[in-house]
Amino acid sequence: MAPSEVELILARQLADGLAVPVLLVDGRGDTVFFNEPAEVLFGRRFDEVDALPFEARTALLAPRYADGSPLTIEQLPGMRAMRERRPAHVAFHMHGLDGVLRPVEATAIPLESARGHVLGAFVVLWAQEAAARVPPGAA
Amino acid sequence: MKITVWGSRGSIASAGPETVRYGGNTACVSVESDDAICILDAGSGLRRAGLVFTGDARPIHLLLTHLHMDHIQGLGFFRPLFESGRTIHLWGPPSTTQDLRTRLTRYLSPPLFPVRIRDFGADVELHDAPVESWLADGFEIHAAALIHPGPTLGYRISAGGRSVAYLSDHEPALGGPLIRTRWISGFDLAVRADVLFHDGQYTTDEYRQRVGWGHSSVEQAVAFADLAGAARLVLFHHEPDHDDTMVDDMLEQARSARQNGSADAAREGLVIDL
Repeated sequence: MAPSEVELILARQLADGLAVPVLLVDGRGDTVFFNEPAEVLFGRRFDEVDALPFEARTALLAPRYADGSPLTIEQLPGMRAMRERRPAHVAFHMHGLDGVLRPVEATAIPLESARGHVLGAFVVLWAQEAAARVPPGAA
Repeated sequence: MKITVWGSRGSIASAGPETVRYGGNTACVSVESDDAICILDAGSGLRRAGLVFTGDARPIHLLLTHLHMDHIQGLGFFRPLFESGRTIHLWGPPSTTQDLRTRLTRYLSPPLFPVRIRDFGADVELHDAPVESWLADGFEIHAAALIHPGPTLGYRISAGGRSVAYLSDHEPALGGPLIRTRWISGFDLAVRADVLFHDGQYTTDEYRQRVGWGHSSVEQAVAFADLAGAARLVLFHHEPDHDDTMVDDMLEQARSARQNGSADAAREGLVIDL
């Protein structure tokens, strides 16, 4: 596997030291890391799943709004942040890899290099009961 | 490929009797072929390189890792820049906010320096180092961002099947333990390089006091070189407060620790023929 960009390396190190759940995706949307607090939300240790291709992660997590309608790829916070090159906030439900459905909120920040390339997104997650009260499409 | 060290010191020039063997000039290394000259960094060592390369008809490519003073302060004293009719290519780290010329002009303009870039006699062509490898008069050059404060690059120069990697200011340990190569900054630049110039500024104890300053310990430099499979590690960017005896001791530590390659410490005048 090719070495990561230095910005992703530093973002991973930051995430590793934070107490809030963080998911790190690369420019394609593939999960390249989630930290220990995020393991509670994903229902699996990162070392057990390692890097998840975007399609596999989306299929397993099955993200959906509170009314059950699925999030499209374009609505996923990391993808939105990278496409729009600005932070994106979304409230939704997702299945952990342990099969448990959890309401969460996520704020994704695009990681843009000094060369002007979007290399990925830094996604901070919260387990929030309030997410269930957010109407579909409001995010 | 002929490699010459013109400056091996980090942070600030530190000339004196206690540094006479390894030298007190800051970062500058030239890489020559029959067809071209690449110069890595423009520290105070660049002045002496300029004396040798004045009148040399080969094209010059100056590759800047970053714009800290110890890597650019030699620019204004590089004689080929004052040679009328000569073209010199200056490559540096890109930025989304200001171009390379604007950033260099902060130094190369009054009151810090009396001569502006436009007043050099040579035609200076400034380039943002591209993401992809590029060819420069027979050299294949690859640049990649490194862990160091501010936009900073490392370089790999290849020609005739040989390669030299130059990671002068680099703190890969800030990205985590030096174990999984995917998560090690600068790794792809150094893989199986014949010669690897790598930051080895600190002792292990000094590093513990200076985490985040952008530099490495000898122990980390050796671990990085071994993981990358670099044949010859050259410790670089010597701490200005380290005298020759101290650098001798650090070199001995590196030689003892290397698992699959040799170790040297950069000193002014060191020539490596590849």
